[in-house]
Amino acid sequence: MPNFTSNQLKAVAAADRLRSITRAAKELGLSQPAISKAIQELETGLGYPLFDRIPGGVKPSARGVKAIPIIEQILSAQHQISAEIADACGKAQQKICLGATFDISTQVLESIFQCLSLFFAIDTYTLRLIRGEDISRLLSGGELDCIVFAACTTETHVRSTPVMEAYFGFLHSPKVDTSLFLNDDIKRSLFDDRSAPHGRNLRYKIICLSGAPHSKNGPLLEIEHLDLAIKFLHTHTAVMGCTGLEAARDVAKGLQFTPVDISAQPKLMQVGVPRGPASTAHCELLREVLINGILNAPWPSYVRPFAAHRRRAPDPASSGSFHSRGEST
Amino acid sequence: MLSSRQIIAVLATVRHKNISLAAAEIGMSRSGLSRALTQAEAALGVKLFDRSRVRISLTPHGELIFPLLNQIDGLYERLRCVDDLRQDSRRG
Repeated sequence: MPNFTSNQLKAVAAADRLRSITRAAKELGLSQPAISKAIQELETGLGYPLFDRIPGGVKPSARGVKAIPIIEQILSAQHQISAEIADACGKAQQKICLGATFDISTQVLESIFQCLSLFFAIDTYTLRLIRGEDISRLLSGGELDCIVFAACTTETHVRSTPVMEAYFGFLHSPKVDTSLFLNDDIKRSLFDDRSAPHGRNLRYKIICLSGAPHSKNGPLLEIEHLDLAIKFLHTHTAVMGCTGLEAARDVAKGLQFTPVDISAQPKLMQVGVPRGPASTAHCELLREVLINGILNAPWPSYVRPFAAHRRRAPDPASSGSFHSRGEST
Repeated sequence: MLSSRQIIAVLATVRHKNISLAAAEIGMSRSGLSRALTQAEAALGVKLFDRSRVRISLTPHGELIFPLLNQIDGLYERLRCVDDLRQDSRRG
């Protein structure tokens, strides 16, 4: 009876996603021979090769094409087991690790943390500042519980965070110039037909989408694209918040996003732009959106954030302790 | 995370509620199966079984994850089916 270990499964999943043993080893923090050995052991146990070796990397074999999605489902179920037990023990929620892109202000993060603490037994948070290129490694390593990012603000922003947009499916929109997504490897690994496989590693599967979809040349991503994003989030993850003012109000009304012509709207305000602090009003609105979203989101069965951990509303004077251990560059 | 061997050991023990019978079913020694169960509990950080002289039963934590263990077992079975398809095509 062959014995398959989680390390073997992770090695296969990473090699498939990155199409390279070397890159898989780097992502998992292991040596290349160790990854090769793990994959070879799994292949021996199964009795068939999972990969074909090609110049520059690997590609799934004919059987691998069928087997690797099953392997990923096994890993996902293993994550669910860990989450079930952590939740039942009430010990995993003491501290939450928020991942945020560099253009999210700490004031917004504070508001998000306070909102999350209404529903989860968390006392502090650690902030991990991330660049778009880091997100694959961080998510696959299970280092983040929650990710916060601003999507579709300006053209420059879109260019700076290609992974975020890829992750949330904007590539599906015919109105988005996909040439903006500069890194084909990341695009492929995050947005293939298995629909954002990294998302499973987020403990709470909460994504805060900050939207102020405009650029100096006019709308870059229109409201209907945010609507697509919301649908995608609800299908594949759980919760979003949108801090573009009108958009956030629509979401707060019950997660029913009403497409509007933003060219006829006053300039949507942004939250978390690096040039200035977010307004208190926006933070309050974000909190409202998140609370509403958490309450109404279709949580997977293994995430039960409510009755057991629900707390009183936080004292505005108090806040989570802040420890920055990440780098933004 | 649990290895496939540990998952098989847990599921067999649940079926038979008896270490010896479970070990016999899956072709492991009694001590080997006990060791697999202990390793599984250590990996998860919780007790999965209440052990008594007569019977062995799932704890609430064991009950909680039992459906997922069954699901994973089914997925491993599908992995083996992929292999079977390969063999069938060779025979055909």
